[in-house]
Amino acid sequence: MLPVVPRELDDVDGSAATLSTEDLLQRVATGDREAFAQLYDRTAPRVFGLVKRLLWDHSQSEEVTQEVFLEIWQTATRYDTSKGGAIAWMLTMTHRRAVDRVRASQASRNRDTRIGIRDFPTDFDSVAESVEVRIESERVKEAMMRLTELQRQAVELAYFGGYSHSEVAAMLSVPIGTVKTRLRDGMIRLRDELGVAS
Amino acid sequence: MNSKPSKDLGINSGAYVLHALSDSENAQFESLLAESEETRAEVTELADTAVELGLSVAPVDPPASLRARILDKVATTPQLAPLTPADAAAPREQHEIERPVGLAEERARRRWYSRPMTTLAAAAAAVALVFGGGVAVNAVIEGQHASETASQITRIQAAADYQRSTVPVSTGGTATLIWSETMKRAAIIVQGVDRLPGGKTYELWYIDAEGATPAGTFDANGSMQSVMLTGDMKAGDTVGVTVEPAGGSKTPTTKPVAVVATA
Repeated sequence: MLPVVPRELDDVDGSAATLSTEDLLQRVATGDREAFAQLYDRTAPRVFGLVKRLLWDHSQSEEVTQEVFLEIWQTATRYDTSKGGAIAWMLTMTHRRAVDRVRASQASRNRDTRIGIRDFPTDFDSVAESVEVRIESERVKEAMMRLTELQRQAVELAYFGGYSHSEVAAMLSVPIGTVKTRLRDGMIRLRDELGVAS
Repeated sequence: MNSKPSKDLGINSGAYVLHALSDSENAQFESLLAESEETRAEVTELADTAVELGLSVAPVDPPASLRARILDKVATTPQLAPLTPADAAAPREQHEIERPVGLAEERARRRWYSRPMTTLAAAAAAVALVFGGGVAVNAVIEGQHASETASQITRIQAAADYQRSTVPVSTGGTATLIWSETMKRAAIIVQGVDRLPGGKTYELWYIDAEGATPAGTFDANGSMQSVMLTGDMKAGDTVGVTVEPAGGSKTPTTKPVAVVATA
């Protein structure tokens, strides 16, 4: 018969307010639905805000937000802190899901019609305007200003517009290789301006 | 302008983190990631930079009906079995602990070998891959097909009388026991539990008034891992974890590092 370990277990169920998002996510990984609800309350506006920025359409944004949170629930078991912060993990997933939806033909057809970019090159100005996001964070806004005009356009179209490199190339009337270079150089510049290091 | 390892494919790093590549380019780029330490480091940083862009977008409150719908779905959606994909990518070696690895490099390695899965199907494929790759698991799981293990855990979680309990491990980390009394099955999920020195292993026990019955052994490596307990669980059994000599013991020889009561 084993000796019983002292029951210092109480703080394992400590109050959620003091838990980091990483802690919450690790609890979710053990099937804790209450922790999931708390994680949702803490992060849903960010997820929904980002999805809406890419998709525009309200009901599709709700659908994608639901997909994202179900994926978080299912794959929280794979998350560990070495993958970076919980929010980073969740927003990366969110962006990918939103982009997937943009690419789904129906969605992009509707969206392109709405934005009026059937004819990419000639209508680029209107696209640039609609994708011209209100960037709330001063820090990010300032960092964006340090990019060359072409780097900034490419990064914004790709990230906030959800456009593929070939679409971006068509819109900016440059070869795909050039877009790839701009996206990379632009992101490297942003990284340096924002002081992101792993 | 571009640094050397990135000549052809490497130039895609920006487009990759922005999800702007085509599917086939994406797959190609990921095989480069598997090979190139330097690309992984760059991608990790650029991905974090992309997250900054995401954080710069104004949050929008979703409708309350969405919350209700999602919580409802979650109640009937099983979770994927926890895995340790890093192990599959880099099979464990005896001297791996000693090998000095830069922190950023290590983070990048783990991160990009274990990208979140897009679909359940992809995840299932990864399960097979990972278990084929030599994750530390106990005797009952060794030799069995991977997805079987994953599905055992999923089945426990889908059981009507599924329960779980998390306790701290006295030497660091946590242990979460999940079980179903009707299925007589239990699995333990450990997080942040230290790797033991050579010659030692963690052993699981079903404990009742009669004493402790061995329920398998496992090795830990600090990340999240799941292990099915061997043998049948009886209602009211307590589950314990001890440190034992490699190969396990017939009866516990040390004080348990974790104990989970199921009654």
